[in-house]
Amino acid sequence: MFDEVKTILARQLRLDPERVKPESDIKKDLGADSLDILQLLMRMEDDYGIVIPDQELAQFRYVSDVVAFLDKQKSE
Amino acid sequence: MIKIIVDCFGGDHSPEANVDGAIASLGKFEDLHLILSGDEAIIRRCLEGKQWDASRVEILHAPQVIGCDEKPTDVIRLKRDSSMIKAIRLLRDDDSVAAMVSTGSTGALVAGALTRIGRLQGVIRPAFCPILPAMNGGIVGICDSGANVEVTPDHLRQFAIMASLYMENVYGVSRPRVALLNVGKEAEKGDELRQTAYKLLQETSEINFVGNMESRDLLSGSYDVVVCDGFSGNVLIKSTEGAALELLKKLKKDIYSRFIYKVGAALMSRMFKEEKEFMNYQNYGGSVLLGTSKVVVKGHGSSKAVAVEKCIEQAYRMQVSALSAKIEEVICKYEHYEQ
Repeated sequence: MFDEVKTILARQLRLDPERVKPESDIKKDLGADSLDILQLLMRMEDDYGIVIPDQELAQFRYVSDVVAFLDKQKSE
Repeated sequence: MIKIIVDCFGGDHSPEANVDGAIASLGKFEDLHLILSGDEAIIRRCLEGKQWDASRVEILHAPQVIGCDEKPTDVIRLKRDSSMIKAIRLLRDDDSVAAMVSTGSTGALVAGALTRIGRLQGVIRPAFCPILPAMNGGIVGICDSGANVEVTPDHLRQFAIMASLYMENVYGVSRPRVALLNVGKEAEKGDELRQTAYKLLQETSEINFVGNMESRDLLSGSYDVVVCDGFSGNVLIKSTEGAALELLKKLKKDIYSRFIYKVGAALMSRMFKEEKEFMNYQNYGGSVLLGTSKVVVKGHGSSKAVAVEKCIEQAYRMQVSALSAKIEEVICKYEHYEQ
């Protein structure tokens, strides 16, 4: 799952994929803003056919937060 | 080949007007290819009896429709099978698709485009830029007209750059005269936002900034681009349209009030028709969303076939002129510090 998130983030933010690490702070380390994060989450919703609850949307700070959420969704 | 998706549902005259406008646009550009998004059976019924080149038209089946009264932030996530969201997703995912035209819910289109299609490099916030006819026979673009209620001076500078390039590349306006909407013409007028934006616009060598503009001068023909926050821009357009419509209503009422006026009006009927046509928004296409990574054009909810055709033409010209690359090139020269 991390690799998928990494690929999408790198493409969306025009970054070298190697810069995207599980511990990366999406805003501070990768230079994303709130719209970038929403765009990432919409992509996840579309690809996995899920709807991320509104209260969860603001909780994603690190790449690992997104990966953990999607892993949990996949296992349910 | 330029491939454009037309969302065929959600407007007041959809799907007939959207399908008719789409088919008509094929005659204008030989390399135009269209994807009609919406309920396939209904779209096929609209196409019956019409002459169209089947090799240049595809249908993207999307059985759901987004209504204008639905909450944008909900429907863009829950109505994935709607004509608008399926079109947006295809625009995002298919590199061969260049642009999208919709006459559906403005809120859903903005929210859907911003969260799915993304922005050009360096663009902080995409902005709407509709076109109005100016009284000297020209046109004026207003950026932003509603996508961003709250803005910073950086946003306003980017709106100015994007709209200026749009007017130049799509409408052939040479060195567009860019003005900042304000409560007075002097540089020190307005609040801190407007004063700071004034300085930034003055420092931006790629645009022809001519100073502040008062709202009463919008249609004077003295400006090609008016820069403002989305709230003010929306009020500006609606109050201008409203004033013009009320004035026309009063004029009509007064003409019918006396026989001699009716005679005078009959003698001037040709001029009245020409003026009506000149001011008809259907002839000016839609409002483009500047700054998204792919071209998005929003037609008026009441768009008829001719307006849809104009919207497709706008999208086509934006793509052919490589406007997006030109916007990125200029925007990336300026550091922005507020996100």
